[in-house]
Amino acid sequence: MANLSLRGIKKVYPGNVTAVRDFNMEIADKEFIVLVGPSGCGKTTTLRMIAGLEDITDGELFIGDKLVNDVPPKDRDIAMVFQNYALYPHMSVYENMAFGLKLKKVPKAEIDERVKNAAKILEIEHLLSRKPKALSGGQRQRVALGRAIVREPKVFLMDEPLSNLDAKLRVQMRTEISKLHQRLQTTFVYVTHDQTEAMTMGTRIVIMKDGDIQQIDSPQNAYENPANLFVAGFIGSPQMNILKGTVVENGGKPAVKLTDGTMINVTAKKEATLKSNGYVGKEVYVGIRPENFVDVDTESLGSEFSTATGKVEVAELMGSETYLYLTICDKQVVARVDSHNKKRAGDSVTLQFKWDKVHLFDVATENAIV
Amino acid sequence: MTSIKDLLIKTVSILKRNIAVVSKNDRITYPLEEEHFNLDFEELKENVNTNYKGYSIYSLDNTDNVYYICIQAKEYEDSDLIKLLLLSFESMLKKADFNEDYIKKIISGNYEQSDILKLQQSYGNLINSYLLLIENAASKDSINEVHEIIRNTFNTILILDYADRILVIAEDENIIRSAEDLAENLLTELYLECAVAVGGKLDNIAQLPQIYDNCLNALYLKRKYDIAGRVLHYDNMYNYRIAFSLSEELKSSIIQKVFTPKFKEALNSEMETTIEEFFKCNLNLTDTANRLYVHRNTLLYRIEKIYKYTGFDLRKFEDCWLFKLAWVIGKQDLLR
Ligand SMILES: Nc1ncnc2c1ncn2[C@@H]1O[C@H](COP(=O)(O)OP(=O)(O)O)[C@@H](O)[C@H]1O
Ligand SMILES: [Mg+2]
Repeated sequence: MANLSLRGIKKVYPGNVTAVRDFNMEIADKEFIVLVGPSGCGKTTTLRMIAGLEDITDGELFIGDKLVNDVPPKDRDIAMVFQNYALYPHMSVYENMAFGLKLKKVPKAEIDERVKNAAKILEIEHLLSRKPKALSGGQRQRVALGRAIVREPKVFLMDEPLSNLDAKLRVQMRTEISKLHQRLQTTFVYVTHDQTEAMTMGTRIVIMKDGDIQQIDSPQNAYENPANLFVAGFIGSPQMNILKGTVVENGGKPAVKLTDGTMINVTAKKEATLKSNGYVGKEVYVGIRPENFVDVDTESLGSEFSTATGKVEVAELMGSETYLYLTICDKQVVARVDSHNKKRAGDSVTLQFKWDKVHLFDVATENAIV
Repeated sequence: MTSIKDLLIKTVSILKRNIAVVSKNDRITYPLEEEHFNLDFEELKENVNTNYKGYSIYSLDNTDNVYYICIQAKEYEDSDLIKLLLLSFESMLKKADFNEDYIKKIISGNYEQSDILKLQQSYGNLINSYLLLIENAASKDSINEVHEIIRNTFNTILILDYADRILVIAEDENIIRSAEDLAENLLTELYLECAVAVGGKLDNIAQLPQIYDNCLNALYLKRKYDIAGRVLHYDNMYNYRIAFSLSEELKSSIIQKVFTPKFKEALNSEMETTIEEFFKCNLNLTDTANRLYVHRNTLLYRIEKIYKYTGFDLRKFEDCWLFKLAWVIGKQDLLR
């Protein structure tokens, strides 16, 4: 069990490719950290540096209190899990889990204890004498996880471990890995490009882009308070709607006026920021999540909630809710409404903005205005 | 030293004692057990013909290499039963040595047809067998563990350390999947990041030189073209083989045609990732845009830009395949 400290970590590959620019993060013991971001943003590189499979160009990496920049992978007390969930075909489940420890010459009694303990955690005690052939897909994956668990590492490292699985098993394993983390009480660093995975699994998530950290936060905070336009769009599905607006004075208070004339109030805190930072008269990006629109025909908020009207282009029925796609201010937006909503393609719909849930971003820096 | 394992398993099942067979560079113990057998070669040399740390240690007299047979026992014994047992190990190991020597001769290219015939007699017909060559796993301090992992991942017919690589003849129904498992096992158990070349199916030992050559070529192409992934299947590498076999003249004319000065100027890491992901996603715009997290229109814009600068439209098959060929040939020079 250990904390991790990444201080000014940088990776430049031969050919002068900077894959990770300046990664700073303190990871506490027992955290489940998810590195997430688009392909090529540097997730795998970061994980490989933690594992010791890739040299660190610059910066310091600590596992526990130990500086490990020059420590080989086998001495870092880490365990890795990859996509294949490889097992030894002729060994029983028990032997599969014991094998790595036997190679490391761990005494038999201890092996036995660790294997049984891991089997208990994974709820595969009844499978210990089975051969891999006799296991289902999900069971195989659990045994492969068991092989990592018995090492009792300080840190688990996983790089897109669910990417080869079919959709159903993927969802199942997501829960499985989260449960495992809770039971093991060990630090996990997990890489994925899938924001849903990140949101559902991480205690904190690190959102990366082009080798830079964009935000480190709890999933909820990243969702509710995205640090910039990139995070705002990346986290959440369907995506946050982004419109353009201008900050104007409305009865002495700053408000945001959309291109169709809709006037949106902002919170007192934002009012102050807009004023003190000279935003009045300037353009800003206005972000609103699909669930923060309300169809006035089904539910009405107070009169301080302004409205915009458009024509539904597509209504996507998702079961418990419906996504309405329409154009407002020349931009396509999506509103997430209750499934009782009977609006369909071609219908006109008037949406109220939950103005207290509206996000504003600087047009030049794309950083959130809070 | 591989078919030894079967003999070992059978002997142990009769004797009910642990046995280890140790040579200079390899060891097989069975069962791979608790009070782990951890005597090293030098220790055994010093204590041969005695009982040492719970094992009686014997050496074989008539093999080319030195082998120690270690049998778990309270005291040293020299019964007829033991002598018989040693004899059967000896004949087995002699045969293994013989095979290894011939295989080394053959893959070094220094052989005669009669050598192949001798090996054919020894191996007979091979079924579902493949030749693999493993690079970056022959690490000195864990070579025994590496062998142990290989032996347990496939049904191995031969494991041979040769020229800093490990050559394996393995029988397996899904060799590529098992090769991937092997690479993953070496990485997760021993933190060794290796490359596994699968040279092709070996129906008859006579094909060995050819298939060994395929393995070497696969590893060479991986280095040359910076091919991602730990497993290389030579039979699926036609694209790289074609790229490699083009004349220098043709290669440079393709590169000049595709990589125009304007394109080179526009090629940054964003563009590189876009191109790589587009290929990885089988030219599927939606998947590529999702993985890159860009709007479909942004992706289209980038593809348009490539078209504008190179005259090649990646959405058109005719254009795309030549672009891909140029990308394979020239990517490294272009980027590094
Ligand atoms: N071995 C390498 N040599 C050169 N560049 C590399 C290498 N591995 C990755 N890169 C580059 O580093 C960047 C980050 O890659 P990676 O860490 O694999 O991203 P991710 O896992 O987030 O998709 C990319 O631009 C990629 O092209
Ligand atoms: Mg990656």
